[in-house]
Amino acid sequence: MTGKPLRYGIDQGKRKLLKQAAGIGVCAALGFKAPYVFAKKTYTVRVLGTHVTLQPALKEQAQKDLGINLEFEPRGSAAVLQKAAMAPESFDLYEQWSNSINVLWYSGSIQPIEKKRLTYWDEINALTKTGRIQPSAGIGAGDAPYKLLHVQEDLTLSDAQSDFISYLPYVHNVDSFGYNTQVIKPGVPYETESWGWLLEQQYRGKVAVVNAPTIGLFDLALAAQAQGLMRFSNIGNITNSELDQLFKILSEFKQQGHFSGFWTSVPESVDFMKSNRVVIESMFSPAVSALNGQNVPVIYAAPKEGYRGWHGVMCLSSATQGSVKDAAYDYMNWWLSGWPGAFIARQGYYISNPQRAKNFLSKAEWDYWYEGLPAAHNLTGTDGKLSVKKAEVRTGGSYLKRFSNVAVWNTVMPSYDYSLQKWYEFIS
Amino acid sequence: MSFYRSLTFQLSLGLLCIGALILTSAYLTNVSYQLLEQRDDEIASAAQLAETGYLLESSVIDLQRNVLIYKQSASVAAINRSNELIEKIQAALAEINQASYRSEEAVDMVTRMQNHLTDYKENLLVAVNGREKRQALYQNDLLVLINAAQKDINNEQGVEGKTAASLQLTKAHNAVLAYLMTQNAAHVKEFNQHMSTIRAQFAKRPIASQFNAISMSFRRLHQTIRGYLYLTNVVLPGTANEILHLSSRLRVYEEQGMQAKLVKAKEVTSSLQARSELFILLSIVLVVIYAAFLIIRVISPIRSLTALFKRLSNNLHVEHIPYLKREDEIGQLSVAASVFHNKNLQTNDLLERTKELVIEQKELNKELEVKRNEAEQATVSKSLFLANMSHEIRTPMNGIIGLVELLKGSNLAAEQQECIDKISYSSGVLLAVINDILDFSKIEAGKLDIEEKEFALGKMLDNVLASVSLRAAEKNLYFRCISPVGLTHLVGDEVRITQIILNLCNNAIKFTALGGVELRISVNDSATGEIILNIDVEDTGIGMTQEHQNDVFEQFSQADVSTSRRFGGTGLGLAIVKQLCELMNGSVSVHSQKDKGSTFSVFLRLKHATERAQHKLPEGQPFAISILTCNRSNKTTQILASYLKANKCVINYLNIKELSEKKQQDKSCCMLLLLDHEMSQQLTISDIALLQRDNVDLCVVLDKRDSVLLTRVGISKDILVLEMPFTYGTFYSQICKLFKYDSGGEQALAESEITLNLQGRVLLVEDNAVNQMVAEKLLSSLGLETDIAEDGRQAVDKLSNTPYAYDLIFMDVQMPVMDGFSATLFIRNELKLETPICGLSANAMSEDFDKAIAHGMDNFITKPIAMDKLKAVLEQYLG
Repeated sequence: MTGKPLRYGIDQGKRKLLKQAAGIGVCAALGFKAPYVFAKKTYTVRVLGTHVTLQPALKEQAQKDLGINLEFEPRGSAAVLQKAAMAPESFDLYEQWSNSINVLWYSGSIQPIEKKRLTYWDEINALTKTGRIQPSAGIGAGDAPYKLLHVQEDLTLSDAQSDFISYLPYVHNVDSFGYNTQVIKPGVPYETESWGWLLEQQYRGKVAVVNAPTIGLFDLALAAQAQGLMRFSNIGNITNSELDQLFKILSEFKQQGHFSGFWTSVPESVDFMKSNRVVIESMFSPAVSALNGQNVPVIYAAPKEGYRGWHGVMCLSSATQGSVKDAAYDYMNWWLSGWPGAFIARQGYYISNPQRAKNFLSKAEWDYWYEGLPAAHNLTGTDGKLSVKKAEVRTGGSYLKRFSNVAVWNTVMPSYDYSLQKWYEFIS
Repeated sequence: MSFYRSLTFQLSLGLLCIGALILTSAYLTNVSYQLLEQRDDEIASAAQLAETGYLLESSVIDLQRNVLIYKQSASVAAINRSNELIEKIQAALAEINQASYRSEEAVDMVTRMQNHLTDYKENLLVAVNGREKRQALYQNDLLVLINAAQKDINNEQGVEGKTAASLQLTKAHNAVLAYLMTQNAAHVKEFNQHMSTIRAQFAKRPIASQFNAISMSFRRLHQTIRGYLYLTNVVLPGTANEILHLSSRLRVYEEQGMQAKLVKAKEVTSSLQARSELFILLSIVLVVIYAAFLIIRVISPIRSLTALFKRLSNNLHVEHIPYLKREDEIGQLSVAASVFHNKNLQTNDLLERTKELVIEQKELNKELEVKRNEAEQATVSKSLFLANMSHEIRTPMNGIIGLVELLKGSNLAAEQQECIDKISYSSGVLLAVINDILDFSKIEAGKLDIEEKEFALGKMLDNVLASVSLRAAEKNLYFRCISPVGLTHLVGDEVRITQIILNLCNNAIKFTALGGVELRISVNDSATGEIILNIDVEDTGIGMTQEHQNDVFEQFSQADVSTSRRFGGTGLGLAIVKQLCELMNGSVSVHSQKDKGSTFSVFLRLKHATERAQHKLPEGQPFAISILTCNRSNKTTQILASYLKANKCVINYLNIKELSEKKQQDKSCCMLLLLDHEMSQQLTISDIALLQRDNVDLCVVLDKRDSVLLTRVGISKDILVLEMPFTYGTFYSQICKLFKYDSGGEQALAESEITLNLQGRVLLVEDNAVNQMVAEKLLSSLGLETDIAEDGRQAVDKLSNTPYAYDLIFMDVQMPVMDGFSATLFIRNELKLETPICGLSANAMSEDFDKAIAHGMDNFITKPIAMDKLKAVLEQYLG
């Protein structure tokens, strides 16, 4: 994936509104007990990550709140991972999804995080602690984030509680695919909308998938399974032979010119849809918001098979020590202090301690974004633009409902090495 | 006329329209060609871009191939080739970006490709590094650890199954190698199984940590390989695919664009063609309309108007003038023609009237001629009248003066004598006034001629002094004269110069009551070789204001009316002086102070005379002289001294007291006695006696007024007397007598003293009885026998009868029956008589003299006949 920033994101004209929003956040934060210390010397924390969380508005607000200096280096996810794995001294904090944890941890690029230094540890919800957002919810196949959280004595990672964790749980969401309603008739969430649409013959040549085996592979696997083309014994742990079968099917589709492309960044996925290159593709939620903002009627499907879940991770570089490390902890704590959670909520993401974010959201916002209720009135996004019209309902419903329907997590499977080979053959 | 209706405007507008059309056409053509050119460029550019798109596509495919080769063989050549290809693609993209005609879409595609390429390059580098790291991890870390562990297993003491453990480790190693070959997760699993078996076996032994290290090392290697594979299998091909996709899209896009542009270019060309044809058509139509307009509205009216003007210029009759109602230039021309026409009519009228006027003018001229003749006649009459009046007035005046002169000579009682003197004086004044008036009239009429004759300056001055000194004496004023020493003769009009001096002197005397008048004559050589005669007349009279000085030379001007009343006179004197001066190329000016006196200065340009008398005592002889005076510094003494010094005389000043001493020293001497009132009182009888002794040559100098002093002091009358005023000439002759020096001038003086002894018979031709009588008396008083003829005829008759009966003829000029000139001519031409004839005339004018000579007269004297002049004539012809 490339390091291209979100195109719909924060452009210069919208800074003013962001500042206003930020201002509100500051006031609220000051009204609250601010536990973090303002360092006398300004330390610079280098953050390596993707555009999902490395947003200028967040940086501005954090610098203001913390009195530290932040250097954001947003890049494509592959590049980010590679860089972090090869050169831990090139960053202080790493922000990506949970499927990078194994790579980073076992390559020794990150160090354990002390729970006791995390101000809001206790507020973090069950999703990352137990794997279930609520007792009735399914865990979801693959590497559920809770399985990688705790650092064990033997320096392996597991769900067994310890005082050290491999990442700070914060931003997360469920993904699916988006489709253009100008071409595809809107379906019914959880009922007719299906991953199988990605392999519908009628959309031949107008389909795109994200170019990442840990993500796109599951989209395609779910699609193949939904189409009844094959079955997986455990979709979170696909075997080599299953991969062979899957890619045999997929290459047939490819031969027929079914796939128009494989996107590597959110803006690219936006462009694919906007330029009519595709009518259906696997998507991340900001792309959907962006397209809707540009009057491209795209629905983010709530597939009846369930979502592909992902969890953001914030990791501490193994090379970071001393005051910079303290500042890094401050930044981690800031992320859970409410304002950032509210900020990203308006972009459709969830935070691990939603109750604190709730304080920074209007009731209508909370109801829409977290409760899955119809919007009481028009809601504006972080860019100050109208993002949700009155009475609109979020596809997939509430936070609980959505996370109760995770079919599979973005996962680095044991067959990952093989999948890379197959993926290469598939996309080349 | 409104500007918009003028032809200028209309024609200009037409031209402007045509011009604008042509310009627009040219402009549009130009623009079109530019457009076409641009379109061509765009097409070329699009073709170029499409070609570049092909290049890009092939390059990207090549790149992917090379990366694959690298992935398989880690070939350095392949990676170098890959980098070269990346550079090539970058260059191609930059080229597209710099193309002149790029659509936004193309730019967007290129930008995206560039971004992808940057990512690709970066990721390729990372991948290459990852592969190197993989090698390093295996060679330097894992392999070392495994070998060390093998060794340590062998060295381990007291443990069962060392061989089995070693085998396990070897198997694990094999699993690593297998994984490195195939990247199959099964081998990882296998490795882990082997390792956990070993770890179980050596649990709680120090060596266990080594196995942990081996596991961790492999895990690290495993993750590194995964990262590397992720890049090479997912990221790089994904990026390459996108670049490929975009480049093919770009190519297609540019090809389509090129096609579209080609079509459009064709359309543009054909529309251009159509448009230019339209413009040509439009231009032709416009030109035709313009030409028609020109012919109808301009040329044909001008032609007819030209014909009209031709008629008008030939002054032919014109019935009707067209186009008068038009408001443009043609209309103006018609108006001009109409004006021309009207002017023609007016000119004809004018001509008629002029003819009439000329006739009137001629009549007027005739009248004018008559009037002028009349005026000329009147002038002639006036002149004649003036001449007659002159004659008529002078003739009786002559009679009166002549008779009075005669009476003076007869034995009369003292009382009668006094009366006669007064009559004489009055007559003189009257004559002078008459002469003044006549002179002035003549000058005014420009009939006064200036003579240029040699004259003796001294003699002229003597005459003047004789006249003015008397007058001065009458008023008891002193009169002094200072005259030039060296010069005796000049060339000029003696009469007029005399007149000037007389007028100025008389004037001075007239306006002076106390003191006196000084006349200074001096001569200077001018730069042009002429002689400047400077006459100054200074008086101690009433003087004049500056204002009066300015117009004193105007005619009839006296200081004021009261002045005129007080001093009398015609007021013509100074005016005559001025005019005479101007006639003689001279000037007159006055310097005066009120109540102090005036000085009149005259400058005249005269010529040198050929005759020059030596009026100086010879040098070298000691002429010593004593001057007996009471006051050495008085004016008279100074004049005398200056004259004497000019003659190089040795002067010895004496007063009365010194006289006796002087006499005793010198036996004989010459002495000038300055006898004035003071002196007369100081002189004693003994002094007189002393002076009148034989050895004293005495000359008494005294003022004319004081002649009585002579008798009073008892000086005998026969003594040598120099009366003041005197000229240098007089002084010189007296001083010569004193020094007993014989000078030429003495002779003349002696002659005048000789009593005339005349004999002969005189014929007096005179019509006026009184004048007959006066002349007869004068002549008979001189002892001459006189016969009278009443007029020229009688004279001629008498002379015919007795041609030799007369020795001299006095012939009046103006006479009835036959005038003097005619008679003279007759006598000379018919009778052939040589008898001297002397003209007589009351006309004192010089042309009369010339005329007389021209008619054959021998001499000419004016009436009234002055005795001395008569004597001179008689002396000449009868002596």
